[in-house]
Amino acid sequence: MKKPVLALVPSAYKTSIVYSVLPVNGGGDFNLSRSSNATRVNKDELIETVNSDVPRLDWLNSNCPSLLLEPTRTNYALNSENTYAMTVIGGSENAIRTANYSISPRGSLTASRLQASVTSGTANYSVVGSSTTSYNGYYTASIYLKSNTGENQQVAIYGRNSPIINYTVTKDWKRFSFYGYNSPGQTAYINVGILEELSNSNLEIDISLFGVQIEQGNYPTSLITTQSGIVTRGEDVCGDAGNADLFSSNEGTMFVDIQKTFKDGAFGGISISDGSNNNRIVIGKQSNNTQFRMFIARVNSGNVIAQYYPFLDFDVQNKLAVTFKFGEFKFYVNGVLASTETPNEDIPIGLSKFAFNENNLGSQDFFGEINDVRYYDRVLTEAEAIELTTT
Amino acid sequence: MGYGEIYKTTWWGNPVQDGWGDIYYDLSVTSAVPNLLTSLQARATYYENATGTTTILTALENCEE
Repeated sequence: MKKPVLALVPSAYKTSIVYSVLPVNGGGDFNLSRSSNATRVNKDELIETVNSDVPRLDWLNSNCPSLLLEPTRTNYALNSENTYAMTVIGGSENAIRTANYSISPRGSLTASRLQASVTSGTANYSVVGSSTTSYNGYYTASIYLKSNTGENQQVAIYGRNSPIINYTVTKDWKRFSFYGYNSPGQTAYINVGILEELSNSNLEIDISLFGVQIEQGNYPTSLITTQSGIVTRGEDVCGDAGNADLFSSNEGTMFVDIQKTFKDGAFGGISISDGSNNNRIVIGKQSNNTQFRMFIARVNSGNVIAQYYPFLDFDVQNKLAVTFKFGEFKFYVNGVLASTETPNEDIPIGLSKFAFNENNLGSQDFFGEINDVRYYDRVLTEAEAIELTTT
Repeated sequence: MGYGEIYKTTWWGNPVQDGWGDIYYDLSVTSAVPNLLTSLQARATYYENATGTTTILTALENCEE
């Protein structure tokens, strides 16, 4: 298998730049912008804040980091990292809070403690909560919890119009989240504690809390640090890699290895393009959160000359490739040649930019975790492409 | 990770061909990977994932032309 002309393996970066390993002259480096600071999980598995425009290599649950690309989000929960400030909900029987009790996922003594208990009875509860009236609609709330006793504990975590259930909290930090909805005039909230009405509740719990977040959308994004006011994290815009010389071949292969695809409910593309919608090769996620679209467009106002729509699980790793040459376009999905199109068409012209959006113009950005992307200046054989895309 | 836990990974820095860690290189093999990594590291402010990058680059290097 011939080496790629461009290869991005997330490893080296500086402010505004994610370096591609190939080419070595820097001609394939990606630009990255983000209007605010943001957090990531670093190599030591600790949450870390990085400055605006600094790419984020995220090591969450992995020995090999991914390039984290997220949409803009606002955390409406105040004092996100000081969960001691969460309010004891009125009517709670017994909820004792202690500030700065244990080592948080930040690696510092900033997690708070909640010792709660209830007497046996179906209407009894002891919970703390965080809420907002600044937002209404669908929301995702999340919080990091761990057991202080070394034993698993059943903890109720719920919000407005969310499931009301107990979650198992272990001795290890874990982020819990749910999906809720609040109408205008109602609070959006997250409550944590004991609801005796749930059949599997403990009568006492002793847990640590950290990193509360209430955000618009249907999945939790990286922790956004707040204090006395809400905070918005800007989106990651990444692209502008390569030049016309790099993509000048009359055939090629585009490959992407995606660790996780975020379910934004919007189309988002990874593309090699001429900087417009007219000529481009795109591997993108559909707004239905269950399907990708792989397509090739060439001149004439971006007429699509070949395409394929695979159904994929967005929560798992997916490897996809497109090979292209005159009259033959092949689509590979997770180790399978899924489709071959043979229109009497040539490849797009003027390709010059690799980007994590649909046309290098920063629209319809792709949000997810990226392991690896490559461009080969030749068509890989079927065996090569299958090997490359096998997960 | 929680207080007192044992790290699941370790980090011993970035060995370079003519400096720290150079004893790990097999000088009888002429690999382009160390030079690629050195070049990458020299351009960057932050450099992580040496292990994963080396693995992928070595796989690429071992590909038939």
